[in-house]
Order: sequence, then C-alpha cells, then structure tokens
Amino acid sequence: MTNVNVQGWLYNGLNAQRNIAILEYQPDGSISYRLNQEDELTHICEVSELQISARIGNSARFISLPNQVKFETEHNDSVDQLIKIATEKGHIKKGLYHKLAYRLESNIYFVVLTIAILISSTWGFVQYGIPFLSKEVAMILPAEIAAEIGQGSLEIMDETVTQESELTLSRKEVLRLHFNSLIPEDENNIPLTLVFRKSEFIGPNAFALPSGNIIFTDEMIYLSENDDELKTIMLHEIGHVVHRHGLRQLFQQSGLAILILLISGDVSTTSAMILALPGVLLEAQYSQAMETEADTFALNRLAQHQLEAKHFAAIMSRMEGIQNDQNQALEVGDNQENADFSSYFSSHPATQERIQRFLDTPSALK
Amino acid sequence: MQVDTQGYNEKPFKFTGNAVEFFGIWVVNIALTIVSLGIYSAWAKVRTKQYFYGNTLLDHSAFQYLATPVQILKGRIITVLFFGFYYALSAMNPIWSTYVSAFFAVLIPAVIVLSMSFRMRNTAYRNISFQFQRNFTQAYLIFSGPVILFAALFYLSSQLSTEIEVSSTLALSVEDEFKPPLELIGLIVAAFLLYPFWEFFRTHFIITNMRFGTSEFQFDTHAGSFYKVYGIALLLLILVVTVYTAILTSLELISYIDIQYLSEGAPLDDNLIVVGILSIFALYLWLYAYIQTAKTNMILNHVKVAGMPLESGLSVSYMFYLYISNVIAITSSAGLLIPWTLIRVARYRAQTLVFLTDKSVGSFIPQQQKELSAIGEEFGDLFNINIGI
Repeated sequence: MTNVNVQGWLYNGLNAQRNIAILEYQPDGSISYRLNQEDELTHICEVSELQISARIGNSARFISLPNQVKFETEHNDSVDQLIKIATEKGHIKKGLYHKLAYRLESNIYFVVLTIAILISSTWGFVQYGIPFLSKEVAMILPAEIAAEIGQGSLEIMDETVTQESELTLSRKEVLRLHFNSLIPEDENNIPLTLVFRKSEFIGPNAFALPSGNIIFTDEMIYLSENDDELKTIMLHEIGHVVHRHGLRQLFQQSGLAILILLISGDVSTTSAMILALPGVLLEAQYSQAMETEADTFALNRLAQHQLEAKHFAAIMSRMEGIQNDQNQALEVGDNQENADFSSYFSSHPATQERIQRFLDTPSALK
Repeated sequence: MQVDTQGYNEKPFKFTGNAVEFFGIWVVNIALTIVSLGIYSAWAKVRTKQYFYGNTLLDHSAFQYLATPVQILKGRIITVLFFGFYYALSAMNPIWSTYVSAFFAVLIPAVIVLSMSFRMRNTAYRNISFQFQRNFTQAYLIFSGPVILFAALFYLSSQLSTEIEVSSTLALSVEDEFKPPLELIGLIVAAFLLYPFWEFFRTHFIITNMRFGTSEFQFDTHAGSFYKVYGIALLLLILVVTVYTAILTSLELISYIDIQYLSEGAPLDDNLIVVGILSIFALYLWLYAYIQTAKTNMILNHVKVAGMPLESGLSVSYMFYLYISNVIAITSSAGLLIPWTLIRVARYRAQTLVFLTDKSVGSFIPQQQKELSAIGEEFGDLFNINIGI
C-alpha cells in the first residue's frame, strides 16, 4: 500500500493567510503535511480526526483538521482514494451518505431514468391528476357551498358589459318554460336560473356562471331561427353547471399554480412572472375538455327532450360566422375576462370539431 | 462608477461549475425529495449551496457553505409546524388568523436579521466566516419606518380631504360629481417617490452589518444612486412605450389593408396578437434586466470590505439576453434546463466581478463562533423574503 498525497490550500484558522501544501496519508493512519516537495513531513493528526466534506461534483472539497486548521482541494479523486484506503484499513468508519448521493448524481443511467420517471409522472399529474382531483372535490361539495363560489360574477357583468334585456315578458316566459323542462332532477344539483341580458359588447352568446345563473344575451335569442336551437344551447349550459365546471376550473387553476411554483421555485435566473406562461396554455386545454363534457351532456339528453343534434350545429355555425366577422380585439378581451363564464368564444379549430360532432350524431327522432 | 485601481491588485472571481454535472445533482435532489416526502430537501439545499459555493473561486480559493442538513431540517420542521398551526387556526376562526398574520408581520424584521446572520455565519472563505451583526433595533426602525410614515400620511390626507369636502359643500353645495380619490393617488405617488430612499436605507443596513471575520463592510453611497437607477428606467420605459405604440399603430394599419384586399384577416390577426403579447413580455423583461443589472452594479461598486472595493461590470444587454434565453429554455424544456440557467448566470456574475485587494489581504482575522439555528433563514424562505443583494 502506498501513501496518498493530496495537493491544496492550507489555512491556519488564525488569519486569512494561505499556503500551498501537500497532505499525506500514510498506511499507519497518520496525516502529515509539507509545504514543498523537498520539505520534511510534519505530522498533524490521525486520519480519524479529519472531517472531510462530502463530494459534490468536482466542487472544492474541504477537510477540517484539529485546531481550526482547514485544507481545501480541488483534487476530489485523491480525497476519494484516501477515504477508500483508510476505510479498507479500518482507520475510519464507512460513511454511506457521502458516497451514495455522489454515485447517484454522477450515474448517467440513474439520472436519465429518474428524468423519465419525473417527466411522465408530472405529465400524468397535469393531464389526469389535477382534472381528476378537481372534479372529485368539486362534486363532493354540497350544492349550497358550490353555488357560493362566484356569487358576485353576475353583478360584475351588469356593471361592466351587460344591460337589461329588451325581450318582451311573454317571450321570456316561453323561454323559461323551455328551460325548466330541461332541468335534470338530482338532489345535489346547484339551483338553476335563466337570466336574460342585452349586450352589444359580448354579442350572441350564452354562459353558465358557477352560481347556477345561465345567461342568454338578447343577441343570442335573435340569432336563433327556432326555439329548439336555443334548447340545445340551454342543455349545453346546464351541463356546465351540473358538472360544476366553474368550481373545477378554480381548483385546476390553483393546482397548476402550486405545481408551477414547486417546479420554478428555485428559479432566480429570470423573472418568475414570465414562467406563468405555460400555465395559461394548460388552462386553455382544460377548458376545451370542459366544453366537450358539456357537449356530451347535451348530446345524451337530446332524444329525451325531442331535440335534434343539427339544431346545435346550426346555431353554433351561425355564431362562428358572426365571430369571424368581428374584430380580434373583442375575442382577446373576452378570453381573459370571461374565462370563468365558460364562454363560447374558444379557439377556432375546436369549434369546428365540436360542430362536426353534432352533425355526426344520427337523429334519434322518427 | 470608476474605482481607482492604483495600489490595488485585481483579484477576479471565477465560477467553475458545469451544467452537466449540476444537472445530475439537481435531478437526484428532486427525486430523493419526492421519495422521502420532503425530508431530503434539507440535504438537497445543502448540496446545491455547497456546489455553488465550492465552485465560486476568488483568487483561486473557493467559498464554503458550512450549514449542515440537520440544522436546515430542524428549521424547516419548526417553520412547517408554525404554518400548520396558522392554517389550523384560520380554518377554525378567521379572526384569530388575522391576529396570527399580524404577529408574523411583526416578526418579519427579526426574521430578516436572523436569516442574514445564519447565511453569513455559514459562508466561509479562506477558513474565515462571514458575520452579520444582529442589530434588531436598526432592523425594526427600517422596516417599520414606511408603515408608520404611510399611516401618518393617510391620516393627514383623510383629515385634509374631509376639510375640503366640508368647505366645498358649505360654499357651493354643488351637485354630486365623480371625484377621483385624490388622497389615494397622492399616497401611491408618495410611495413611488420614497421607495428608492427606503431601498437605500435597507441596503445600507444589510451591507454595513456584514463582516468578514472581524472586518467591516462599508457602503459609501447615498440615496441619489438609487433614484438614478429608477429615474433612468422610467425615462427608458416612456421612450420605449412611445416607439412601441407607434409601431403597433402602423402594424394595425397593415392588417387593415390586408383585410381589405384579402377579406380574410383572421390568421393575420392572431399573429399580430402573438407578436403584440410577446413584445410586451420582452419589454417587461428588458426593464426587469435593466433595473436588476444597474442596481446590482451600483450596489456592488460601492461596497468595500475593510476599505478594499469590489468592481462589478454586468452588462444590461447581456443580462437581458440571459433572461430571455432562460425563459425560452425553461419553458420549452418544461423546466429541465433550469440547472443550466442557474450555472450560466452564476458563471456570468462571477466573471464580471473583481475584488481589488491591497497588501493587507492576508490579515483578516476570524471572529469567535456561536451556533445559530436555521429557523430564521427557513422562516425567511417560506415567507419568500428576498434580502436581495
């Protein structure tokens, strides 16, 4: 067995002076040093008295000696060899942690495997975990509490973008009767109310608020060619409330925010605010899934209410046509402000797909 | 600021970490933290700190991070217990939680002092620890100062506005009209005007209480330097927004013409929106880069350790390039390139920093050490208190 030499800086602990020194381990377990290759060795202590810092990559390694003396070196491999030999000789005890973390960190297979597992589990959590948990929690909540969320939304809309409806009382009454006939019977449902508002700003549209208010704009009523069309839209909006989409959106957004915070928590290398961007994209994906769910809800109940799928497709296509004529400023403003209202204003290709889905549904009516 | 380099030796900083190596450390840290349900996070923090400190060299000697994982873990456990207690209370009674929040707010200055103290004690260079004087009185004066000032201003302005209202109703008894809350606007303007002043005091407090061994840190500038940074930032913002608005207007004109000729404006409109949003992000990042860079340079160039100055030469455009490429790298890799961004920023910061030493460089003397718990620092981390120098 040979001696182990490690070159580095020696600090005396009394002031900031330093010396280049060679630390030498001898097979009998003693540690000595010399300042120059030609110098005589000076005995310092036994190897068991050393405190050697854990290896972290190739960063500087620190060895504490008795009397506040410290030795610093960049020769990590020599230090590892010193530890290995001293351990084999029984001069120092085995330190598991020291080696384990470094071995994992420097093992390319382990790192790649871990990355694969981390990516797939994060992806799975975002894709399925967050929507699933949000749904479970939202559906467990009693209807009264669920209806509390977003209580003030209608008031805010009235103050900003909507005015009182100009429809006649009898017209409203007819539509209310249609609406009431569509409400499913289920004790844990949020109470549903049909609300009419005029809004040039929003144009023809309908939204479901989490509180159970379903708003139709006057413009939407004028756009329809028959009441069956409006009934299919009502079913879609009822689907939003029954599936508690407003509440779920809230939970999903919080879940995503927490996840992004966890991932980007230690990012000081850029402005953290900018990193919220992917969250916005994911939220758009979630709300697409909710539109599909509300469509399914409507589709499943068409036959029961003597309605045809083509009516939904017809009015949607008409809305789509109007939207393409409108300028993009409205659309942008709408996506941001009405994100909670499960608005029809969604990105274009998805709307086409949705219409196609209704067109593909064979009529259940004879 | 130009530092007189005569009679000094330039000792450059250097960062020797590399992204591939740190990537392994980072991944294992995350994985073991998840597997151990958060317990390993204390070891993860220490390993990360040790990696960055141990790769930061000044004149060929590395910095050392001294805190042990067990210290960090204890601090984290106590902090988590505190917050658990807080959430339990607020779930039971919202009123109690307000009291607890107020109690926490009162603790913040003390937390900052303890946190700095822990951080400095556990940073060593050439076997000498840094220190932070635990000057609680100063901390409370500096952090409660603005609160007291604004409470007083608010009280005064509300008094003043009632008087005006009373006199106007008496004199004219005019019809109701919309009045902007002038006093509120005044307070906000006052806050903006006074913020650089307060930031100077805070920075001065942090730096002058730092020690390397027994040697003091000096901070030889005045509040004017902070006003200069923010003033230039404001001027640049006004300039860029004016130019930006002009460009946007001309672009809208182009899209209008396109709609006229092609009668299909939608795809172009979408592109315009994307370009508009991206340029606002870029503008924000650039302003952020300017303020961060100019402030860091200004602060570091006025710091002296036992009379020996630092010299920081970060470039705004390079920092902007770093920030924007970091955003692209992080978002397009779903976070996987975070370690790379940490390394490259550390490398750039180190290579633009120089310590100008004189003959007395070896004469720093260590101070007697006492053990200090990590509660302050972990509390500060959870509160997300940024001490920011």
